[in-house]
Amino acid sequence: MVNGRIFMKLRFLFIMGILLFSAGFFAADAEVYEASTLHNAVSRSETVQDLFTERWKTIMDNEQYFDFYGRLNWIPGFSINTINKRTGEKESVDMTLVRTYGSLTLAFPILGEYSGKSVEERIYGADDSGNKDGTSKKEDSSYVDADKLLLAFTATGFHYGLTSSSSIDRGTAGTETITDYRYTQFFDDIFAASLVYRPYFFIHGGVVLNNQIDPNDDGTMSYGDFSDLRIRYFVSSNILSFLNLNAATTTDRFESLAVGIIVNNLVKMVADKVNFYVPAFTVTYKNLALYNDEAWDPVWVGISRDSNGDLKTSIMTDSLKEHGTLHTISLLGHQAIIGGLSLNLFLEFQFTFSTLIEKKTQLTANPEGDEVNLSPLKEGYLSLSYDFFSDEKYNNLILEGGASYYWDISAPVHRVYGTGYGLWGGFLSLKWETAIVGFSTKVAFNDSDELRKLIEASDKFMVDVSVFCRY
Amino acid sequence: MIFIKRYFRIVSLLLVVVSFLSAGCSYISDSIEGAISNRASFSIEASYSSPNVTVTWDVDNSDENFAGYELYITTEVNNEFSGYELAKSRYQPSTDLLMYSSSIGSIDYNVLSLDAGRYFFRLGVIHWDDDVSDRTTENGYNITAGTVDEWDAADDIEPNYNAKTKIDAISGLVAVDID
Repeated sequence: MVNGRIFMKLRFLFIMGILLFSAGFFAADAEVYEASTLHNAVSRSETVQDLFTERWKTIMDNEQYFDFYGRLNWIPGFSINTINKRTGEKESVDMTLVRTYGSLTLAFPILGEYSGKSVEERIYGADDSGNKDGTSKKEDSSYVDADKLLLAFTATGFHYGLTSSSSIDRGTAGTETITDYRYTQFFDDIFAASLVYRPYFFIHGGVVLNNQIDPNDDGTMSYGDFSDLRIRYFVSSNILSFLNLNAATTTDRFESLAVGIIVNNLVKMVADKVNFYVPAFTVTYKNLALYNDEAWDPVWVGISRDSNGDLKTSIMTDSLKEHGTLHTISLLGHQAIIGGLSLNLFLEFQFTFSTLIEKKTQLTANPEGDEVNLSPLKEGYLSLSYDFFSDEKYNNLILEGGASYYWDISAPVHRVYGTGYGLWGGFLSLKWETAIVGFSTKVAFNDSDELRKLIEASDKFMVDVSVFCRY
Repeated sequence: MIFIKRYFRIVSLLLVVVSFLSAGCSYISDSIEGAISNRASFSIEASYSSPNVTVTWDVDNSDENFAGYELYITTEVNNEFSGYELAKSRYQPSTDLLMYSSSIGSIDYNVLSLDAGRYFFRLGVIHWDDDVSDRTTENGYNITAGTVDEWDAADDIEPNYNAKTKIDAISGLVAVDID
């Protein structure tokens, strides 16, 4: 019996690709699947934490006790080079990257009582008066009454991996399409507990699980059979509504730190009120242990040789690996313009004190490779949004579009058009929200928010849909 | 007393929450996406002994909407990414009751007419689009016998099968080298 070993052992393919990459093999049209960001557990943890934080901002702004959120994201057109086991020939196969995201939060008041019959009543008051900026209940919806201490539990999960589709001709019964998992599937989960006592503080703490599961040879999945599991711990906090402090660590190494100041909330501590038309600014510093001489990193840290004087390889031992840190400073601005129109601006600058050697420059004639010169600007975007129902309280229909720029060392490996490190792109989204449920859809191409999560999405269209339900 | 009641309530809720959240949202969201797309959900085996390929499986299918099995084969030789075509069903290439028995786990497929090379096989578990009570004329079914507009065994005919069934579960792929 021939048990179809259709797929080469996954690790063999990845090692093949990584060794080729390390040896200087480079395709300008990014045909070889390098999976750099996918395998980088530091950036994966950052991604799932960003999703967690983004969802919790909505939960706190709306004083929710329950929140369920689900999102599906498809990126078609992943061209993957595979080896036909039967013929030994290399084939280029189009696959789809599928990403799914889910989040569930339950909050309980341990001091104080449940209040309001709905999100709408909690924000705008039971007398049903007032307009959209919350003036019926409080001067500013971001500075709430300190009447309750909430204990909350959250599970946030993010799955992504490649799939391929095949058509099945059932004859006179018609045609259907099936999908198969291809290559490693990634499962990143956060389990967190939170204490919220607004406006004085909130703190989230928990564990991040980065899990990898290889599909079986026949395309089925054995979910209990993971190939790699990494555990991280994180804490995310805010003090007095203006100071954000976030950190993540493994059992033996610190990985990231972020300190942010919500400027307008700081000003509100000394001023009675900030004019509605003053932009809301947040300044954040981040320290990321992003470069670790791992096989999937696009750079070597320090020099291209290890402490023994040998050229670094993808399979060197952990004791020989060096570590480098990326520092970023970002500025986020939000400004309501007129009616339902508002503007968002984000700029992030980067620098490092480590020397980084770009792997793809390690050619036979230049085995030491060349040092990377980081662009000062890592990311920037400008977006405009318009709420068609700006006069209504909890019925929003928001159309948003924007343009962005994103710089990444891995970009030349994954992009389809061009060879540079910087990518221009944009997005268009439509979001509908009520006090209880909501739906959104988004189309993007090289949008920086997506490239930050997955640089492999370079030069590929992305479609995203999400739903939520809340109380 | 109020504090004890609240403490008990919180602990009870905590146990419920922990048991629910322990499933992991990434796996739950993945299963939701899997329910939307048709993914390989069970494995089959295949062996070749000229002139037949024997495909075996172990799928518990006692669902009342079960309509049969279908065997598929790749349309291109030596290509695991090829599309598939129908090799065998209840009605194709001829009526075969073995493809309708929910208790069987094996079928032979004659490959004498195929060129030598590697082919890939899959098995589909076919279900009716609707529950028994909804298989009516209004819903597009050809109800030909018995009580008017009430489904019975006599209505389980090829036109209804072709028009009102779908793949409910698909197997993983298995490769067979044919000389």
